[in-house]
Amino acid sequence: MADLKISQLSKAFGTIEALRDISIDIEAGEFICLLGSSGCGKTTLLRLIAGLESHDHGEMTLAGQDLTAIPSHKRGIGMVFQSLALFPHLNVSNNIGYGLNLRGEDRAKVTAEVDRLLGMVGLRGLGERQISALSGGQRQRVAIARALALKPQIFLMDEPFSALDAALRDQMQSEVKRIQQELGVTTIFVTHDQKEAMALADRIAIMHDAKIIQVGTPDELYAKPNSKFVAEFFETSNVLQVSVDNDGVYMGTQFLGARAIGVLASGTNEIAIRPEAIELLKSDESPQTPGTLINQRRLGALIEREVDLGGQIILQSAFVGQGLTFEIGDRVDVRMDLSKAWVLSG
Amino acid sequence: MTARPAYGAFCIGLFAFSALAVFFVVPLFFMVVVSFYKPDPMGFYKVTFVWENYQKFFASFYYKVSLRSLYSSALGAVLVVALAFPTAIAVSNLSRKWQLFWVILLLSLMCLSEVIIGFAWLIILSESAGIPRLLEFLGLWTNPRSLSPSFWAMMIGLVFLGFSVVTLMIYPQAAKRDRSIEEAAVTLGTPPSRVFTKVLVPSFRPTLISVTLTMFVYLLGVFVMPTMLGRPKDWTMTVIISDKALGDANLPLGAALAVVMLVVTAITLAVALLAERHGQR
Repeated sequence: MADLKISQLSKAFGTIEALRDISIDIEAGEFICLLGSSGCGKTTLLRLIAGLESHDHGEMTLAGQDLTAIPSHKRGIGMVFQSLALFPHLNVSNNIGYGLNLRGEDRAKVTAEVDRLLGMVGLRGLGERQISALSGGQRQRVAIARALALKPQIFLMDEPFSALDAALRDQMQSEVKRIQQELGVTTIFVTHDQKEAMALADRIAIMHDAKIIQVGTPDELYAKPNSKFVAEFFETSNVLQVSVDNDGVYMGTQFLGARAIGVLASGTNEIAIRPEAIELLKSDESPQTPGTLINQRRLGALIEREVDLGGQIILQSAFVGQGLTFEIGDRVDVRMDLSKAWVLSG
Repeated sequence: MTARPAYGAFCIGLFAFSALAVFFVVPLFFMVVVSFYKPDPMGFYKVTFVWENYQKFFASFYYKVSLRSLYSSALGAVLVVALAFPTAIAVSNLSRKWQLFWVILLLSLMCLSEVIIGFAWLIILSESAGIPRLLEFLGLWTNPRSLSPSFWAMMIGLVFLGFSVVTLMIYPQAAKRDRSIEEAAVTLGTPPSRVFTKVLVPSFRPTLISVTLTMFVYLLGVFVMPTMLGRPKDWTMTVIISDKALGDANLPLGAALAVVMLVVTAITLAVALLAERHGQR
């Protein structure tokens, strides 16, 4: 396995800028997710790494070797495509063994390797099946086994589970994680589903508008998104436009709480605060920060509430059984722990 | 309420079946019946049951002509598909604007009548104005002569006739194919120059076999190209049947030859389809 270093990589299709100054170092054996909405450039980046597109500017090295000088068919990269791209004219075994056969490997060696891969992806005994006779999940497994057959230096996956139902997607995520850890192969996984990225990745690279805007572990991104976009993309933080003075923190004319020393500077700030850093109290006659509960729902052990705070909807969450209980429409007093808020960069 | 759709489907089916019976089964039935009648040198035929029309097929040169027809149609069909398939793939890889241009061009070629195409190739292959004269002008042929009529002139005519049809038959599937299959082949180590033969041809195999068989049947029935561009010894069974039925006014013999060709074609197609199914296993 090898380090992949990408530096200042750019790509445009005509006048449309698909990638702008992309730089990221991926360590050997790392599982990294490229996360972003449609059209942000994540698939283009994957295709550049695979050699299926050529770059305009920048550098890409794999184990110190210039990757851009190597044609796609010699890069030693395994890729699972969004459509899976299985060969319809070949059965399962021949799909998996395609690359090995092409390389002219000994027939007995190919058979043994295909059997091993079939066992690894849980398809033992299905080698003679035609692709058209497989279920969606089985096809995913064939595509994974085929891409791994040549023992690639880098394993690329382009939204491979987007067409699967939720239960099968969860199952396949676990399978992929298990296989990746078993083989220790450097893996780059493209997805637009932040839950999928959180479940799989060692690190996540958030992409937006042809750029990588934040890279970090799932915990880092969850706890401290560095921009409004990331915070909103993860849907786990409240983003508020506030003004801060010595008296306290205000959203418009609405008082939110005392200023947390060292956290918020005076002036106007865009801040993020997590739902669990907010507490709801029963509203008395003179609440500090009055709001109205407009929705609440159970999410397993958590209860998530939406509160209308002077026209801005904020999310609050707490463990079930912890704190007070409310009914929709109740007037509430919103208490924010502003020492847990942070300022967003843009 | 639920009976209505079934009734509608029954009516449509009945109409289709009736049309098939009127336009195909009834003429075929009469052709088979007439093939057993005795030819009348003075006119049409005599209503007498005889085997002599079929005996003539095996006793004379007709079986050689039918074998030659099968050969030239099969060769023509294979050449057409061999040229049309890469063309359809190449067209489908162009920008939308150029794809539209080629589709319109191919449709225009289909609008040309067989006679016009035949005359055009007669000129192109002629000694005085065509390719031989050009080759002489370039110093590549010192003593040029006309390239038609000949077997290969006829073959060029047949291929030209089928080319646009087959390209347009394959093009829709080529245009909507999953191109990531070709990219997957490349990431698995296939050089781009080999993707066509390693992946595209095998994955289009059912389509290619189906259009080859369709073209084979179509070329068996072509009349103008063999007569315009081929020598008499290159003439296909269609020309001979027409010659016997209309030229010699021997309708029973023409009908018998047509029935034999129908049976031979049906057997050829059945064998080809069985071989294809066997190959898929």
